[in-house]
Amino acid sequence: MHDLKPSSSLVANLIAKAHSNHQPLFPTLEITQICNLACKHCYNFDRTKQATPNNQQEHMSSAQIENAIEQLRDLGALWINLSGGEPLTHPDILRFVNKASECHLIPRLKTNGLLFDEAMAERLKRAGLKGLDVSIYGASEETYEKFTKRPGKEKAFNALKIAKEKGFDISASIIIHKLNLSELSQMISQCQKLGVKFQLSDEITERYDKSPGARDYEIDGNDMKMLLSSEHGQLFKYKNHEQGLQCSCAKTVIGIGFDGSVYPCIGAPILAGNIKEQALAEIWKNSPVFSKIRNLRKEDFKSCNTCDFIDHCNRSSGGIYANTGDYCGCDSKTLEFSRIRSMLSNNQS
Amino acid sequence: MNPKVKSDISWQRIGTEVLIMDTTYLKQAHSLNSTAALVWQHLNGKNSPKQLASILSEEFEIDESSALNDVEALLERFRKLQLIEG
Repeated sequence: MHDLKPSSSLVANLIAKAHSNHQPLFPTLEITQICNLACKHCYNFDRTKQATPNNQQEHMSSAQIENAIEQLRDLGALWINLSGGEPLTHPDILRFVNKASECHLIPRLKTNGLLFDEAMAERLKRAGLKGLDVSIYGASEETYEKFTKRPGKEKAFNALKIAKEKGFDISASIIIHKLNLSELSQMISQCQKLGVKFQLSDEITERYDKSPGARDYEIDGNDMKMLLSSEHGQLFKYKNHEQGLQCSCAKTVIGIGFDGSVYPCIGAPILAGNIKEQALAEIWKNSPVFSKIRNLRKEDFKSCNTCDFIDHCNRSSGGIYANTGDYCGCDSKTLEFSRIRSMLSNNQS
Repeated sequence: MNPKVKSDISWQRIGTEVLIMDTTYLKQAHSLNSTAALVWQHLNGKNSPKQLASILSEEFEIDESSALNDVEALLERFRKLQLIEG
């Protein structure tokens, strides 16, 4: 008997085994691109210019989404993230959660929480939902609305409160950007007040449709220096002890986009195939994209091998690919933040 | 009623083992070795303990009576852990 945390020895050992075997334990399935917010940083498309996607005919049907869930199960998934867009805008969300549960998966939602009220929480619980990651964009309604074009801060925190009361496994994803930087302490303390664990993300990437503007509100080097010397500095330090360069893309992780496109990770938009045209197992086993990623060696990350700041680098290959088109390369922000972390660490030692 | 994995128990095969994540009842994780994993994967409400013993006996070349004892012990353990019904 062991606890359920991925870090517990039993679970961690089996995850390591799945990593070696290339078994996609952690898929993310985008069930829609429709969203009830218009976040400035959205990687789907520029929602500040158009409210709804112009590619709705390309969306997977509900039957195709259910079939994708079954294929993921057969391929070895255990935890499944249903994401979007905003997954709760999908009229068949309960059906998908129920299907994942029937397949003995652990369904989670990546949501902004605005549609998650008491009644929806009950319905999702009955359908078999286990957990939620609720995105937080500000500690004040004003900041939240500036970034998302709609008030929602109260609803997002209320979603966390309801989800906690209902016994879901929850996490607040605090997205750090230029507009909410000064509210970080408040966002953290509001999570702590609710007894909710949180994770911080400063990763904002170019849009997958290449439209400009997503990174206009990304924090810069000066912001990172300020964060590192703030009361929460510890949360932004990173020590890459093993000088690791690779992640779980195409090993324990896989992403399926709203239109059936298959990626090594939902954050790494490198097209490997489409489940509308090919069986998922075939793409997973035979895609040259996946094969190439799985066979990457340390030497392939050329700029990393000569980098002085690798000890403090938390590179995300997917994010770097989205920003530069080079999965093994580097981008200016990753380099700058690693340099700053390294410099501050050397000054302190 | 033949034994069946509860619908809200999450699990997956990893290599020859099975990882069970009970996020509902006792909130524990379990792993099963290849023998127990084989039984577990056939706990679908269609197989009786005798049929499960037969599957086990065929796969691991053990006699059916020892296999039945092993299956009964395993089922009892799964019931105590609230992982199965029937």
